[in-house]
Amino acid sequence: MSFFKSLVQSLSRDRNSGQANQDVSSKAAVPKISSHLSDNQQRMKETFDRCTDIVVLPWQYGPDMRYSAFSIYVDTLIQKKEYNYLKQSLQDLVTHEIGPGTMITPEDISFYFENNVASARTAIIIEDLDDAINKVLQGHIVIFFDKWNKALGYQATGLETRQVTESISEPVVQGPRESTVENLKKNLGMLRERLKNPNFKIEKIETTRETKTKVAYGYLEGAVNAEVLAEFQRRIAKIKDKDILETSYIEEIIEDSVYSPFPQHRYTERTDVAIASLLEGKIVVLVEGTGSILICPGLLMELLQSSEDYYQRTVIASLIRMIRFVALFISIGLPSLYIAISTYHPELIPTVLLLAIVNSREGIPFPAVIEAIIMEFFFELLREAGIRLPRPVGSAVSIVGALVIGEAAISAGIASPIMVIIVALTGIASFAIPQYNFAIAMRILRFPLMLFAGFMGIFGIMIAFLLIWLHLANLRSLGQPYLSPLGPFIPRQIKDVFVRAPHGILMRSPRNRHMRKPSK
Amino acid sequence: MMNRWIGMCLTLFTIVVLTGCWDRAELPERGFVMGIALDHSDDGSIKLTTQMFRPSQGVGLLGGKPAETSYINITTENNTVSRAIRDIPINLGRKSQWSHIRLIIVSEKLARERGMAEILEFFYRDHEPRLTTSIMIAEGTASEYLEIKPLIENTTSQQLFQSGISAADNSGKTTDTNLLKLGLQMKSEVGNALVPYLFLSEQSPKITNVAGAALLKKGKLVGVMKPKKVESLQMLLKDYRSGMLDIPCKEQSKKNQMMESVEIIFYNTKLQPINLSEDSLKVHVKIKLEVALVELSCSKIETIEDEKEFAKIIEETVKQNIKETTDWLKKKKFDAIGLGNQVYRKNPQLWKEWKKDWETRFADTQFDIDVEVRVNNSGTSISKPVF
Repeated sequence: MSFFKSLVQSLSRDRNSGQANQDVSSKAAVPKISSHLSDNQQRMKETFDRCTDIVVLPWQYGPDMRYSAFSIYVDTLIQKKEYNYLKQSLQDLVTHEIGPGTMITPEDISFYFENNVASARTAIIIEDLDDAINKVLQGHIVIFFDKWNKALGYQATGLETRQVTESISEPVVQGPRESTVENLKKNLGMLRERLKNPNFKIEKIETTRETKTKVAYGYLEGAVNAEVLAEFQRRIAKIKDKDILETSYIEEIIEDSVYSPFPQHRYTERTDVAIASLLEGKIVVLVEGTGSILICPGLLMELLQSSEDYYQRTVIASLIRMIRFVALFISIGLPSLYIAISTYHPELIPTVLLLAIVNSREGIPFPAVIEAIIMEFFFELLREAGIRLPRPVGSAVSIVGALVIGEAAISAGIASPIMVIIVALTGIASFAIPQYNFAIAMRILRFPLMLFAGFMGIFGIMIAFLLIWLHLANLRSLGQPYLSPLGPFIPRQIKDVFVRAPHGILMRSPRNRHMRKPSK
Repeated sequence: MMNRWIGMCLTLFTIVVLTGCWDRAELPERGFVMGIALDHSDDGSIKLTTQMFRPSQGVGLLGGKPAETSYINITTENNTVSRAIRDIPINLGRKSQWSHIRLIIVSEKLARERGMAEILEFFYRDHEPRLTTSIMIAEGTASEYLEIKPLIENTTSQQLFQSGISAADNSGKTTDTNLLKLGLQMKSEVGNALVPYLFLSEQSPKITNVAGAALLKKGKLVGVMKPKKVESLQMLLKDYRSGMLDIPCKEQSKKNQMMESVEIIFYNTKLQPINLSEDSLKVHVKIKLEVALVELSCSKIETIEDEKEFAKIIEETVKQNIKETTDWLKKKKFDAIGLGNQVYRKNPQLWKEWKKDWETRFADTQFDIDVEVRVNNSGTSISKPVF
């Protein structure tokens, strides 16, 4: 209501008041397309001043070439062979028109195009200049005609895109190799190809700020929880006036707890994973210009699953899942456990092992906490350096890193061999977590845990774990409890948490049966 | 909201900073006690010899240069054990850590004069030592044993600890006691306890032996039992795990007695006091044995009759061994088999009467021994001497 009020107020006062200009639709000064070609040309040239990639081509047509027109497009976005739409659109008219091509007048053009008679090709009729500018920027060829206050737009985008390749961040041994590219249309096409169902809805949003990014979200009607969907739609509306360059921007805008270290959504660049999550009732979000697909809502237990769990035999997949749980606890807790036990509870170590540890710790100048933090910091440093470096230099880093961390730190007496083992094990364990953003959360939580262990031993680890559990139990993703199906405990879904039950049992879940009905 | 955050941060801060630091010590700040020896010093106080693990100096190459010995012995003297322990850092400079102590050796003299209960009180009460620590009584000076270089293990304490366990496990020649078992025995109705006995072999170089058992009455040493008798005692105690049995060949002169041996694979003992109401106590012992042939030098077991006969010889031998042991115990008036405890369990009223003169009553006890032997297998060869 307040919006209308302000609109009325601003209109009644002054048209140029700043308030009124905030909203695009309320701009009273939306420039209409003039019926004078030269005006339009002048306006476009002003708008695209210093944009060297804009091409403006004037044309003459009609009897004795009396009438003029011009087409305007962004050179770099257009498929070269199709830029001459003017001729084609006129030829379209010729097939409908009785007279020869040279007899076409602007009246004919406006008549036939406005009544959608001549659209053999998909021409869009553009009414105002802003729209024309947008269309040009999106890769349309826009044609202005003399004596017609509208323009024609043809979709002619022909930007080179990356080929569909094998997934780099989520490789599998068995299963489809296909992964997404940076082109939204191509990505949606790949999804649709795998889910041939009219209930698979894809809705689009276009942001209105500088980048004018296209965002699409899809869900499977019947499988998706209506409440979750409504909540999602309420939140995704917020991205409308923001610049979105990557899917993660959206994640941060729609997520429940921005400061939590735990990711509340899942990413994938594999189409099969996206489809599997759609079947489970998730919502997927795709953004033009990036290949990562956001899957929401994300639950903690899902972050420990991999698509390959479903492609492997059930026993193997279940065992691998258990290994992952162990890896999870190693990656978050092993260094702190070592610190706690060696500084507070040496009685917990078997005697022979203790003597070996004592031998290796002798002469190390730092307390175990400091030693652990130094070594973990080295490791994080190395990992970060390894990611950012260009590939040829990367191997040099790993050589230096392996030498510094593995060998030199021990000989220099900075760290004990057992500490190196623990750091290495922790690192390997964190690589075993399939979701990268979840593994990062573990990396970060490790450090406060080490401090707690250093101050209070196992008691401190317990406190830290309790705090983490409290946080997790409190966390929600799009209103869904983050720990479900463990808390709240849903016995029916537990067969896909710690183990992966055979497909025969998994498919029997009521959700899937419910889903099959509407598609009949 | 802001207040809640500040409150939470303060709580966390206090939790982290104000709690639980009292036993914080880095590994290099601790001295790990491997074993101790308790002796009587000349002026009547307690001499405590503590064997500490000495880590190799780890700086430099992986693992560092190995130290000459991986242990050091520190001797402190004081009136009580705990004060002597508190004196260790004076010499060592590190706080002693007791959770990995393997062994407590008490010298014979100390055990005879001061009693185990008094000496070991500290180890039962303090939180660091474990109740699973082994305990032994040593012939002569206890500290002497810790000075001996270990044969394979890192420290002598470890070696003695392991010999105690494996001697009890494989040959039954000693008992396997730790602080917990000892405590239970001393707290039982009879109050007698058995502790492994430690002595040095006579030939040089001197090698430690763990065999036989020291007999403790009310916590004080009263005698030492020979290893062979301990074997039979272990059988009576139902604590026998495995071992060899020597069988004398029949029809041989006493001078050049040939022996055969069998391995006991399975055994079961039932020890039942009967005739509780009467004045004299009678005990029925039933032992079931399954044996395997290990060495045959004179017998041939080719028929079922042969086997039965051989089993009979074994039965006789076992019976003889056990009888010798019980006779010895009776002579010593030492109830090592916990017979009194059984009487107490069966008839507490009667035990109240008997408890005063239990020792003499034990000396008069009749043992009715019944042994049943089955020869189970003959090893990888047939049942007669290989050569």
